[in-house]
Amino acid sequence: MKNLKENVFSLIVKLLTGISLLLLAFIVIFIFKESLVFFKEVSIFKFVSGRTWNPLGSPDKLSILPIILGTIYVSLIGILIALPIGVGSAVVLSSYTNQKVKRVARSVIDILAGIPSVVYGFVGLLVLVKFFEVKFSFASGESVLAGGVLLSIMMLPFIISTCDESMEKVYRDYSQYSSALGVSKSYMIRKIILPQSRKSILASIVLALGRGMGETMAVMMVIGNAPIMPKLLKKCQTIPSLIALEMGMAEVGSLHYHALFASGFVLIIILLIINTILYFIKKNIDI
Amino acid sequence: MDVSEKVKDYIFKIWIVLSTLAVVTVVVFILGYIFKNGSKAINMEFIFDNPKGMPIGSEGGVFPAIVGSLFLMAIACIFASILAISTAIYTVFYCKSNKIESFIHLIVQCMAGIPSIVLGLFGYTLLVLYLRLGRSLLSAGITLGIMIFPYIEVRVEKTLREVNKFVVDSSYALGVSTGYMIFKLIIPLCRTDIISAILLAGGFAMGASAPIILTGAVIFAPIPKSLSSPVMALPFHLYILTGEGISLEKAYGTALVLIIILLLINIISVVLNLKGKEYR
Amino acid sequence: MKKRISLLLCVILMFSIVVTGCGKEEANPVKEESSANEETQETSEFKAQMTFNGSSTLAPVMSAIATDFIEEYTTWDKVDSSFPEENIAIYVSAGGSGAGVKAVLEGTSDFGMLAREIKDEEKEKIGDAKAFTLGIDALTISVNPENPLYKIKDDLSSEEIKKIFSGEYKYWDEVDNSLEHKEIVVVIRDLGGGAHEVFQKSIMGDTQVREDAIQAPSMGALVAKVIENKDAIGYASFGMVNQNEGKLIPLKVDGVEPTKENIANGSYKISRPLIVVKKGELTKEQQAFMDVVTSEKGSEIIEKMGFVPIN
Repeated sequence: MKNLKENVFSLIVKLLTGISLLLLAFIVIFIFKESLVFFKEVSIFKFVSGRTWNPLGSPDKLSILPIILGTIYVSLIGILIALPIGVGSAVVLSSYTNQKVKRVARSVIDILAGIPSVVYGFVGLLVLVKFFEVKFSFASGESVLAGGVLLSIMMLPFIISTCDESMEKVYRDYSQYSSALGVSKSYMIRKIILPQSRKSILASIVLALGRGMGETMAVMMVIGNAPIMPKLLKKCQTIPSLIALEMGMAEVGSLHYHALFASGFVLIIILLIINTILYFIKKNIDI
Repeated sequence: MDVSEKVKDYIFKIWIVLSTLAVVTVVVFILGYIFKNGSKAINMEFIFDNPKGMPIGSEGGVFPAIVGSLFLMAIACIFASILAISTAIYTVFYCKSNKIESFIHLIVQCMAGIPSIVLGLFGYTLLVLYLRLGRSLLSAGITLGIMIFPYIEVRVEKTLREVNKFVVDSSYALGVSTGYMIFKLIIPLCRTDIISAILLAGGFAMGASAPIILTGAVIFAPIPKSLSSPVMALPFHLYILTGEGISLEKAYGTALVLIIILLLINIISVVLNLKGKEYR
Repeated sequence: MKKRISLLLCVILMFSIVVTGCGKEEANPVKEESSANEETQETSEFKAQMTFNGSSTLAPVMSAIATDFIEEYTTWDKVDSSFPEENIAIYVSAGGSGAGVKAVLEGTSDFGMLAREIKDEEKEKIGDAKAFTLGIDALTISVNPENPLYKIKDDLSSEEIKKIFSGEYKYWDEVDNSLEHKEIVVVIRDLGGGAHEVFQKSIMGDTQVREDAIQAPSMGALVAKVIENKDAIGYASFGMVNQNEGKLIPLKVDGVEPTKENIANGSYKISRPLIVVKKGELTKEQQAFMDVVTSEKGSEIIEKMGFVPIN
């Protein structure tokens, strides 16, 4: 009797696990299949390197190079801003604060991470874009820069918590020794903790980059949605925002529809590469 | 220390102070901004009334959106936690080979990396069209569930692994079957942590709008009556109010309501976490 | 205990998927049998809910009419005593006129809302299309009230409009010397939408709009952009201009002012019909609702929202 219960239980667990894994495979295969239809019509090379996206002109032009570049550009700006700020704050959090402050700070960071992306986009639209328009008198504040700054705020919690975790470990290991040797805290941090944390800083970059490139709503609300080659102060378009905007009107089965899937596929490939790198890096850190 | 060291040290200190200040400013600003502007719009009517006015949403409240969001979160959590908890249990207790374990980890990581809009695409074509579920609470809920699955799985797995080795080893030593051990011993120990993980993931699902745009969210709907009716959802409502310029004031209010609900979920989950630590 | 709960939940979930998925077909034979006993004939099941999807211009109108309808009747039997006592549920979502056609074609929505003519190939694909024209909307060329252009000239020729939107005139002082040397912020609708198509056909012709024009995902968004940016110009819908009185200044086009009369009699050239389309015959309850929409009450709301009703 016990045996039967046991077997049934482990069977269910295995079944459900299998379903979850199949789910992912299903998603990837599905997207691949729909994109394949597109790639039969338009060569993947032309898709990725052409410069015009105009699905309803005639003839329709469907190439997403500017959009791919826009996606990468905005995320890159985000990382460039978020990384120094994030690492600096992680240093303070891990090595300069006591337990009570740490608890509060970590909860606050969690709250920041929990703010939905529409809210970020909302605030970004009203504050950032307005700011650019008023203070710097841009014709219109929607720009790569606005998207990058907004993304950097969204990336901060990830960078801070990843780095903070590993820095705290190193700090605990070394703080006693270095203070016994009369080494100042800042020196210890600069010479020991930071170099040791290199791998986790790298991992956090990859994590944040992955998050940033897949981000839809917040970015969509502040970058202007113009599928042109991205320049820092001009509008641009990212792949997720393209899909979100045009999916509603692309007729199922049309070339436009499959082109959207194809761009989603390209995005996934880029993200898969980044994620695999992250995975292997993480493996190496935990040794 | 020689001069260059002193300079480097000084720059270092300035850097970390500025960074912390920047983070603190940002957090205070964002929360303060929404609270200040949103509190003007919030009153009993806003929370419990239906959207009204011309165009719709410029007056009245957001009650259907609140209910819709809560329902979506519930469905996403049920769907995701069944799959995620099973996967976690399997990986920690049943999986014999390291290769399979790494493989599962890789898959879960990849799933977390799929952009939410792509999941929305997938949900639309599979659930709404092929399975003829239509734009409904169910389609949107399942799509959200797929989105939060990796988050629950990773947290639950971590919790299960951290369980006192003593319990696990002695169970094996006593010949207790794995199923029994999991059910009667480990789950009760981890219960609060698991629930807190599910809650957090649910909060994440509630705030996501990309997956539900295509699978179930509408601009105007009454309170959902069945699994197959479309719903209003807070984040989507916020997006519409802003994008269409319908009502800035109501938009602030919606954002504030959303944030307050999420804060509540966060607080509950932290409290649960603290209580859970007492068990161990 | 937990296992049984999760197993139960799992089964319930699967069951509910199957039920709601097949529910639409299964309910048919069941409903027919029971109603056949009461009524003479009910060819299709009674659906207490109906969905509208499509143009973001029409969406607020339909939502407003729907809210009134639900408030007045609450349950279907009050609309017509032969209907069962079920709560009225009308859902409206907006994704653009193209999305409206798509939703009707794919069956994800009962009705599609369009702010443009139905194209011939769309009519073909839908097959048995029933269309209701509710009114006319016009695309005004509007600028921000702080834009000094209005004080100098309140009229633009089609040529000038074409040059502004195509980017040939990049700065405001190219339009008129006395204006500032500020870049013109061109706001349009998404290129695939009905609004842009109408604009393209009536003004632009073969010329493309400038590449970096802001593509607003909906009319509301377009209007919001023009309202908040003093260098912006965009083709805001007539209804929107009326809903935001004072915040947008519509200009004359080729000397014709965008007024109700000019739009109705066709002398204002950039206009588009507001259409609701369905695939196939309407069910009785859908007909009941559409009757209200096309009645005096409906036209009143359409007019209140600033459009020109068909009556």
